[in-house]
Amino acid sequence: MDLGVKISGTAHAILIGIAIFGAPIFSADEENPIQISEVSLISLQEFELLTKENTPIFQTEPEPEVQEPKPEPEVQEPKPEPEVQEPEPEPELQEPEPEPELQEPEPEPELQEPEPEPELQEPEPEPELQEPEPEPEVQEIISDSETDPVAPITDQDNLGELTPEFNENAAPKAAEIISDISNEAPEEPADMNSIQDTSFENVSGADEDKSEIEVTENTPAEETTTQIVTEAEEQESDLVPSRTSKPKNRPKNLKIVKEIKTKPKLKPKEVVEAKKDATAESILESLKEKNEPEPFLDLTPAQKESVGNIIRNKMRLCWNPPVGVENGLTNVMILGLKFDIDGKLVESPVNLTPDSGVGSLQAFEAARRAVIRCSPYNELDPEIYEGWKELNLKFNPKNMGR
Amino acid sequence: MRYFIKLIIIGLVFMMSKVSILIAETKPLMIEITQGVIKPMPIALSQFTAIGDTTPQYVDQITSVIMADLVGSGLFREIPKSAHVSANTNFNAPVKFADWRVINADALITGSVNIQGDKLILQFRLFDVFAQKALGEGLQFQASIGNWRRMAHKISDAVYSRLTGEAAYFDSRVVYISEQGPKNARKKRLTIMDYDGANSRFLTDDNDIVLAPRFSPNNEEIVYTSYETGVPKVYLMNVDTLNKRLLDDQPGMTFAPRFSPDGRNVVMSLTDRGNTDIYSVVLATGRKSRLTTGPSIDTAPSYSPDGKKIVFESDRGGRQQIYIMSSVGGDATRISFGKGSYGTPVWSPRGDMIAFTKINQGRFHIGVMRTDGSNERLLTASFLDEGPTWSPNGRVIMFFRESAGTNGVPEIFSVDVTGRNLKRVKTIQNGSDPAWSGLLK
Repeated sequence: MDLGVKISGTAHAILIGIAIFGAPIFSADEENPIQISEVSLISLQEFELLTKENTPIFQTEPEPEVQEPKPEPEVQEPKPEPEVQEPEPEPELQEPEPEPELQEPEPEPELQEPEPEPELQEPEPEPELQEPEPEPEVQEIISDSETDPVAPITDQDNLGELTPEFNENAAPKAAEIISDISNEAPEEPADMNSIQDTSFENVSGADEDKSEIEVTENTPAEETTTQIVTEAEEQESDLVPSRTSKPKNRPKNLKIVKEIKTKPKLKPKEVVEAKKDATAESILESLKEKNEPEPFLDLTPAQKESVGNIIRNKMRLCWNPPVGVENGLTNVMILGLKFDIDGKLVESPVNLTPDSGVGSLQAFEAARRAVIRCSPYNELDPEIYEGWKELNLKFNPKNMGR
Repeated sequence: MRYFIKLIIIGLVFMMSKVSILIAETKPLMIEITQGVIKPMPIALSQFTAIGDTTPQYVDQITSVIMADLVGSGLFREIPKSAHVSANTNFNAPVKFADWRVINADALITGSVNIQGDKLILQFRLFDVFAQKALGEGLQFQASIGNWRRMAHKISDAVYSRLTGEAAYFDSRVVYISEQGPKNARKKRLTIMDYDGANSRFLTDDNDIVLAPRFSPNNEEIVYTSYETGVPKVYLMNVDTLNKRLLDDQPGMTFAPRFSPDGRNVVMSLTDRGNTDIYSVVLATGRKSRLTTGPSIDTAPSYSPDGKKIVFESDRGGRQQIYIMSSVGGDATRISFGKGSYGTPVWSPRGDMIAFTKINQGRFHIGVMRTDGSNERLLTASFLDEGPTWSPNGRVIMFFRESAGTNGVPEIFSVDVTGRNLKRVKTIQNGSDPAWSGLLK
């Protein structure tokens, strides 16, 4: 055989070998000592299983007790569950019990169905965890259908007003221009200060992030403390009348809607017949059957102003636009909110912003935090509930800049 | 019959009016929010779980670096551990959001530190407390224990990016000139350190004056000016091996070098027979191209991130001002028109702004402007502020400030691009001429 053919054949074989098995010389690992991979969240049930079986979280860890300060995970682990779930009197994002009739008028009854409770209780008695499905309903309520929204900022002027007392010392000095704030780098320990080269590897691993976001966790923990109060609550105490002063009466405007709701469902054929009646009721019914949005009470300008002022006043204290640079004060976000008659959010705020850009996700999250933090909105007048049962909030930070 | 038709018409009109009213009312009330509070985001870092050979000291050191990064950015405020209601004793344990919400934490960081021999595994997760959900997947970093500080910076970077929507800058380095001794006999050494001043390392001795180091795009090399041969010349050095070479051995002084974004060229000033112009040098071949001509002093060139343009300073108009030209030379456009003189322009990594030094009425300023010269903002003012350099994400500017008097010393400072969060950067000696690397890989 020709020498050239041999050489060519050998070279091709090597190339094919490299293609199949890969070439270590091209591996980035050697250059990058830091390997990076994702860490998925596990569900509450999975966590329970792990702890019950005394499974070490890290394989090399000889004693799981080191990770679990509690001596007997099997006994103790399951207990925290009921504690966490029971104490929740009223999850903010969900419809608590109060008065079903008042919640009914909402266009989407599915969201009001507070089924999750039985499912959440199930995991306790049954050690087997594999019921990942029950959670989704809880997650739906809490999760947001995030479309990307907008962005950030950096002024830090009015810190004092809302900063909890215990944080004042830790707060970074807000930016006096040209003040000499010395900032020391963290101390470097003597025993580990050598840095070598780095490497980098992405490892996959995916899982739903909020698996077991407990409905119970949803409950604001005001009852758990007597001293620390959230910002929103602090303001509430000053600005907001107590909830008990509210008229509990059902607004008259709800009457028609209520009646329609209590009627048996109409079938399409009946809807056509109902249309023949030129009454508001039948029109409402037909609209409802078509899944059209329920009408809102047409508020007077004064009522609109009142509702707007209540919301704006609360947002003024709760909304901290996201930090960022140039786009921080330019992104405008629109959030859709749904309330029950007590002014509580019945579902997680929805992002209605048509466009999304850089930083829009953070802008949406900041607006969502503000809305949740300020909840409940029990200053809103229940008499005109039909006018504010749904609100769209447009967060526009453009005039908040320097 | 006519009566019947009339009745139908009236009925239809009534129905239509009713329907139109309903349609008009089907839109929720829109409320515009234009006022809020602007403050650093309150975040909490739950004590990381210690696993394996991990001692509490390691956990503290790692978490303190993370918090120092985040709080030091000026965009976050730490909720101290003393205020925490609960702690995660197991990294995989579900988070009790209510405990963190009650202390007003917007975001929560949980993590674990696992040391096994020489190997360090760091894990962390980030949560939105009010939304009660994880923000993305957690991450795990694994490396030799010597890299613990970088791994902590990487966690900070990941948290910063997720919460701000911006690129981060914590896992980066700075090369600068360490200075010691009186002003008239200063010893200067090239020095490299982490962005926060840790892990300092000298790259040269103090035998020769060195100036203006700049990182290559891959952060592995620097170019700088040295008086090693008696006249200023530009050198290229590998920061790991410390191997160096003269970039251009032709007659004349060369200085103010800077890499092109692709790392293939270096642009610099060359003074020959009293005339200073800007040249580019192809690193692979040493081929040199002249980009400016004329009797004026053209210097301090800096590429745009796309490599198509160069911003530089020139006194061609009678006073030191900032100009922009094509990266292959040609006509230049003046962009600075304010009072005083402008120098040392540096193009932002984002491409949208140019940082500069301004001298006006005896004061020095670090400022930024858009690339067309508009929206000029002065960020600092002092006896002597000079030499701006951008963080990898274009959010922070580092520069040096020299105090007045015979005992004045240069120190490195950083300032947010908004002019806030001005602070001194810790260095092992006095320092000047900082140059920020890109984000490390």
